Amino acid sequence: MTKPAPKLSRWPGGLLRAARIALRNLRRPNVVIQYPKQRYEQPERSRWAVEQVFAEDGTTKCTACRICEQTCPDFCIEIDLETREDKTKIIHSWAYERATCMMCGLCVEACPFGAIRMGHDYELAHREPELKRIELLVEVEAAGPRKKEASDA
Amino acid sequence: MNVWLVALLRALLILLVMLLNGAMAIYMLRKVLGHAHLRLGPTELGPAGLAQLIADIVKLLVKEDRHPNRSDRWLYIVAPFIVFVPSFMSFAFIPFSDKLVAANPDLSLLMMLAFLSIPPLGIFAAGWASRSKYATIGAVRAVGGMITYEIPLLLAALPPVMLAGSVNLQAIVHAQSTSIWYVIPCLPSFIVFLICAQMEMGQAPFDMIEADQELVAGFATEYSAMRFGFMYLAEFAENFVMAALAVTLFLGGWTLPGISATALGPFAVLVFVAKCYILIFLFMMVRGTYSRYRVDHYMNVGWKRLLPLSVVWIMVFAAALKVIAMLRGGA
Amino acid sequence: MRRPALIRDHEITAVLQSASIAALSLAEESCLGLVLRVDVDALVATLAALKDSDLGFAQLIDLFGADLLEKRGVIEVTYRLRSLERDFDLFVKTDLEAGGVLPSVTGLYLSALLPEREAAEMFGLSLTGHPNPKHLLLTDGVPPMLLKSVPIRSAEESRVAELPKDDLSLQLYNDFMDRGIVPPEDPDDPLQNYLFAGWISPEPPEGPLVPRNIRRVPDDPDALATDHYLLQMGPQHPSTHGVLNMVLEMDGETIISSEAHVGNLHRGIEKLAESRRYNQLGTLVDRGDYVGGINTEMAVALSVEKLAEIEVPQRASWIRVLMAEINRLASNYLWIGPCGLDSGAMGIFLFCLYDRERWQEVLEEVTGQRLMFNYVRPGGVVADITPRAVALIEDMLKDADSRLDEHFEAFMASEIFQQRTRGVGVVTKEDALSLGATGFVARASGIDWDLRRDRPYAAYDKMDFEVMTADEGDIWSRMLCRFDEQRQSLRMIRQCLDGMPEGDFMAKMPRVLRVPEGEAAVPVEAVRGEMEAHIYSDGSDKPYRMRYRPPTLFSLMISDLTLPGHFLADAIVNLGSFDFCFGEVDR
Repeated sequence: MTKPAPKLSRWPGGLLRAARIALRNLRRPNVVIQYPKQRYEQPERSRWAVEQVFAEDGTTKCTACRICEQTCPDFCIEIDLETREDKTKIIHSWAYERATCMMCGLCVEACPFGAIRMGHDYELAHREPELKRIELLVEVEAAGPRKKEASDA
Repeated sequence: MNVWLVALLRALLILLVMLLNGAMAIYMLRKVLGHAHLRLGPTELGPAGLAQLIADIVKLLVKEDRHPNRSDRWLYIVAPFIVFVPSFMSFAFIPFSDKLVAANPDLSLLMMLAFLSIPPLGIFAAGWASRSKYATIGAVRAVGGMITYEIPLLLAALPPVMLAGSVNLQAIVHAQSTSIWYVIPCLPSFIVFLICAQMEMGQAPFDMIEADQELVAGFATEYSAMRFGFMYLAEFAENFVMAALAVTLFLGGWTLPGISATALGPFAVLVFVAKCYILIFLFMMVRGTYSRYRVDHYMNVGWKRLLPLSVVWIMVFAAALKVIAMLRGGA
Repeated sequence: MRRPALIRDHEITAVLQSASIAALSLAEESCLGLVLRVDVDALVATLAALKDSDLGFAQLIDLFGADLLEKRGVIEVTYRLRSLERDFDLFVKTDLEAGGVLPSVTGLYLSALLPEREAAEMFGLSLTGHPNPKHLLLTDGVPPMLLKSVPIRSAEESRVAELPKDDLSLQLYNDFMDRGIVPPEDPDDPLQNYLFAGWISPEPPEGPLVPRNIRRVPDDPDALATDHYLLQMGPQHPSTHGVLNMVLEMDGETIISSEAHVGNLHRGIEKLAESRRYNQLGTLVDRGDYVGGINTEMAVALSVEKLAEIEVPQRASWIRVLMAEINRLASNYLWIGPCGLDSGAMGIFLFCLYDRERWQEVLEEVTGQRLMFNYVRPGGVVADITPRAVALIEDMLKDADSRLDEHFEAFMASEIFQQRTRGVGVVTKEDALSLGATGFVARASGIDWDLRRDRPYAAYDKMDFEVMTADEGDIWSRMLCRFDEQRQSLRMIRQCLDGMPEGDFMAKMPRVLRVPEGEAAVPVEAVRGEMEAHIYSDGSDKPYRMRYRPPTLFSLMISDLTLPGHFLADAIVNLGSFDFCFGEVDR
């Protein structure tokens, strides 16, 4: 469908119309958020660095099933764990390569236990190179099914 | 008193005025454009961002002063001063008030316009010496533009001269204080003058020589540090000089209608500066609103619109003056 | 709207018979449509016969290769032809052996210019008959990336791997770091000349002091001559919209010829896609067209759904349309504004960014991020829309139309801008067809084609909207068409809010999606034109090959061919008017 071009004014009508809007905007309030001083409210779904979610008693919900590690397209999660003879697991480290993460949220979607979530901390630039890889869990007993049952009971 | 000492003091005073104006105009530009664009402009350094300029100058001073390889070294070094010094010198002829004018030769208007036509040569030198293609295009545009606007600009300044019967700026102001502001009889000249002033200053929509989006930074592409700062400062100085010239020729200079020069006293300077800044504000709003002309359209505006318009207007105006004079003489 | 009659296979057979070409096969493939396989020797003749036939195959929409060496021992090159009159797509496929010779079809379809170069370099083929058979995206010395035998190296591996001795770029880099600026050794070598264009040798020149790369035209010393010079625009130019490098041959301010050099942002998205699961693909294509992510994600999701025969819930389709239109609005704002900035108007840029930010808030509220949404997946969408998002949209819809009018007045109504855009950068209808223009570029040139209306996907068949076309094909009409697109997007957003059905937002999906073997491509009207993800599946959980058709790669050819004869200032506005996104061009 072809429409006629919008009605245009004759020279210099368009210039005057533009000037009118420029003057109107001069009176309008500022719309900029002055970033370090003011911060805007993030929506609940905002996806930034991955965080651990802990149970009410402060223990981890992570069962070290490694689904997140397999799901991550950037391979930025690395879980170092050890399975004992009684099938319980100890997580030596739950390392998170924060500088590589692209915050796609796939690991959080994949986690069957809700043990991780996308945090709201968006100031992720650091001078120290060692901070680009952080360990979210160190030497922690993985949550096992038995423990879960115990807490349910 | 020693003549040389007086001259030196005057020169220093002009430099001070020029620097103050530069600081003021840069701050104003940022604030005006900011608010016109729904933002705030500088706010962080000093009260209301006033110290931002100092930070900028410090930054420019400590930056590396680099020379492009195989540039024309001496021309490259000298060019910013060819831009800066004439704009600085044209300040000498601005009549801030009845007494406050650094130099008041009989031909002050002509001298001022003569000084104002030197900076484009400096711009050309800068662009040519940089030996960069973008800078060269900007430089060539500067020369082409200069021929385009100089003639209508001079023709637009003529009607007030005819009315006042003098090319002395102070005399033109005095003549306006006894009659009316010349903007009323010479309105077309005033409009042509403002457009040409915008072209002379090289500001949007006529910023052919810089044209950020096309030529990166035009003639100043290769410049850095304080050499760039000088050119930037000269631009704002020219801004003020053109506004001052428009005020002097058309808007009654430092006078106000109905108030005598003695009654105005020291406030004359404030009146003058206020008028200038109102015009500068106008320039800035235009700069922040419109698209840029294309270079051939720019030439068209100069040669095919402004030049015929001002020539015809001069003839009509001169004829009308003569007729009125004859009628008066006959009566 | 009347649906035109489909093209039957006997019609194509008739065309081939009249040109006495023997096709290898002509069959309907379930997810793709009609596929014609021809021998490589008969390829050009086949395309010529099809183009000249009354079936109206005027457009070559896409051209790409696929490495089937493991399966059939061949490299398959696919040509997607489109007949607008009959609303029909035909796939012509031909097989080449590894390192084979691909005959160029640029004489028939100009739109093959860049895709042929890409296909050749990516699969190690060589081109015959191509006017400019250089590499497009990759540096010289890089192996053909899309061959399965070429592995993806990690950053460390590439660093350790020994670079070829004749790697010019490395040499140049080392020389540059050692000595500053190096003059080209052989000023007549076009490659060296290109690399050094704009650089100036430190040695004192002989004769008059002139910059390098000046060509005297005409070459005859007695004739009245002028000097043409090469101007390197980009990749560090303020208004090439990313990392485009245009080499312009200039006569004063007038452009004589223009050549776009791309590839500075090449990240191998198509290669990486081969190692990602189907639900991870969104993260990759988001980084292709990084301003219109929802639309590109949707293209992938639709192709995968078609292959895997997934029924998408109604609500999910509606949410897709809603989010795609919001995304289109936000993306178009990031086009109108910079287009104003290109022409020197600073105000409009900031006004548009303000409006864009407000729409971005909705996108962030629903999807969780502002650019890399990762929201549309095979089977539906990740999350439902929230009440707060609805409130935000309704709040913005109150004054959205009047704000659009205001933007129009503040910017396009100005006579200076009209002077600069009317009659400038004209793309005629013939050029637009031959160069594979889609989306708003095609519509501005008088091609009445919108995939949302003509091949409705998602819930677009339930939307009521109009498609605006213009006949002039200049920058101004492109802007008008886009402005109207904004209004139609607002209309669709309103309809989506009113008519949103209840239900699930995601179909029941297995944890790891395995897709049956086959090929599928669903074209999608993305923000910048037609985008499609042509997916080859081998039955595993990862695509065997994914072709991402970048609409702006085709616009780039159009822009290159429109520029000669224009001024330098026009080049900038013209470039802006095609809305390039170099994440997408380079992938």
